[in-house]
Amino acid sequence: MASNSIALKHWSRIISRWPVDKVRPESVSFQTLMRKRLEKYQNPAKAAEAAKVKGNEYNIRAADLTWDEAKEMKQANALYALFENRFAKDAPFPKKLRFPESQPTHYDDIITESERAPSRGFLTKMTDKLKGMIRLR
Amino acid sequence: MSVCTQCMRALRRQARLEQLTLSQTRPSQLRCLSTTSARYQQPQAQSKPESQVQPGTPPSILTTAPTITSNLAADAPPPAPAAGSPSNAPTSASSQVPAPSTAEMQKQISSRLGSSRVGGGIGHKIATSLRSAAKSTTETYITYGLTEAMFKSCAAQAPYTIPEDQRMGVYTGKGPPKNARAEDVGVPETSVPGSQGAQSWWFTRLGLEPTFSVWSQVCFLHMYILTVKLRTLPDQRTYMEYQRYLLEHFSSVAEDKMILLHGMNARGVRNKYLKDLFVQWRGIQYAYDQGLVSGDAVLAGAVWRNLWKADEEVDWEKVALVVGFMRRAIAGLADSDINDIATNLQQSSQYWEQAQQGLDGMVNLESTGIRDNLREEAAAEKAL
Repeated sequence: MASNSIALKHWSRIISRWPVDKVRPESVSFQTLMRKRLEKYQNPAKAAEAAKVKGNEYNIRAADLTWDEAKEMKQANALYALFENRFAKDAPFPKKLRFPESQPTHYDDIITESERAPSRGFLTKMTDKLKGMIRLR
Repeated sequence: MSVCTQCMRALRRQARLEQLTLSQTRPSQLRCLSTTSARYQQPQAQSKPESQVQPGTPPSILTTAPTITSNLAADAPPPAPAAGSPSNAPTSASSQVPAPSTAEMQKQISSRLGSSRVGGGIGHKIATSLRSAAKSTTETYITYGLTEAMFKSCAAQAPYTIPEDQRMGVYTGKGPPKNARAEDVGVPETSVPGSQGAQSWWFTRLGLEPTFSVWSQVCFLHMYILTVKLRTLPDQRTYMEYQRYLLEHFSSVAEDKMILLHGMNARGVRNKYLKDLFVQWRGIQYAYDQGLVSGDAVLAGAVWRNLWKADEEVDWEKVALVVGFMRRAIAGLADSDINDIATNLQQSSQYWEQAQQGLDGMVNLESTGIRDNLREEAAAEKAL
């Protein structure tokens, strides 16, 4: 894989621009896993070593580690399409569904919650949990 | 034709038996309160090519698996000689066989009860009168029926099954093949009504495997799309009822699959998996909600984590297809009524198939990121 591959440059841009997910663990984040995916091409021996499963040596197939420039360009194209919200523009979220009658602030609450949740302290988490257990209507 | 006293006694016995069966079938008629009544009552609304239609007979509107209470429309072999004339039916029945089958009896009763199923028989009348008299009491039955129709459509999108000779792997040692995640890999199920079976977009275009996990994730995805629409119900309690029933249908079918296809006879193990599925469902609702408002990238991340289990080697074009499908399917539901949606989904998967059209073209369009970057590269080269 040539280090001046254009597709690789696109990949690096995409990984750096991908929105950071504060709620889920970093080990399963897009950035971590896609970097691992690209590293396999840079260092095939190390990747093969890491992929070994104990007791399963006979079943290991060496992954096809040839860098396919055209395929990777298509991957980058699809990811850019997601960045540009192409599908959200093609079929916008209708207002009737965005602010549903039964819970008008539902989606806004989700966003607020996802921003506040990672930085919550232990005591706040406990109080919120207890408050959530008793729902008075 | 003169009738001897013995035959007369047999006829009277027969009539009494039919009267008894008639009174006993009344509770089951209450099932007409669900949308299944629409299936039985209005044959012109249905056109199911895969149902059992004999040439020369009126089209059967049988859409459920034949059971003792649902088989009202079954053609009993041999077909009854005169469905319309009640006096002939007991004589023919008693002269042919001493004890006619349940299907035959039910067919005779139904032919006597309702002259035609269009407009409905006595069951439909009971259902409508109960509905107008006790609206809130019958509400749950309506919800059950509507959510059942909706769920069946969701479950038919990526249907799978394990071949019968592989189901008893624990005993025979010949279990289904396992994939890299140690999941049982089955085959697409071809006999689900309204489904495309092995030709389903999820198997052919997206290359997903026919496993329980894929089936459940595809179910969740479609159930989620319907949940977004259900949130528009005016009352939050009604919305929660619908949600609960939708999940109830899913759990019931999931448990059936665990027992029948995967041989999980231990209730504890099944409960553990069902709880896990519940947690997954709640997580999916949160993740997809977040993605719907935050943009395609976040939604794609959620789909990747759930449907593809955060696979490193995922094909992002396929993830983009699913994102496009979700957005289109959700937008398309905005202006329809819940009842219409349920009826539509009950009849065919056409709605989902329409949302799948033309997405490949959309994904293949050159994105601004690629175009701009190449221009920058060319400009940088020129500068050098």
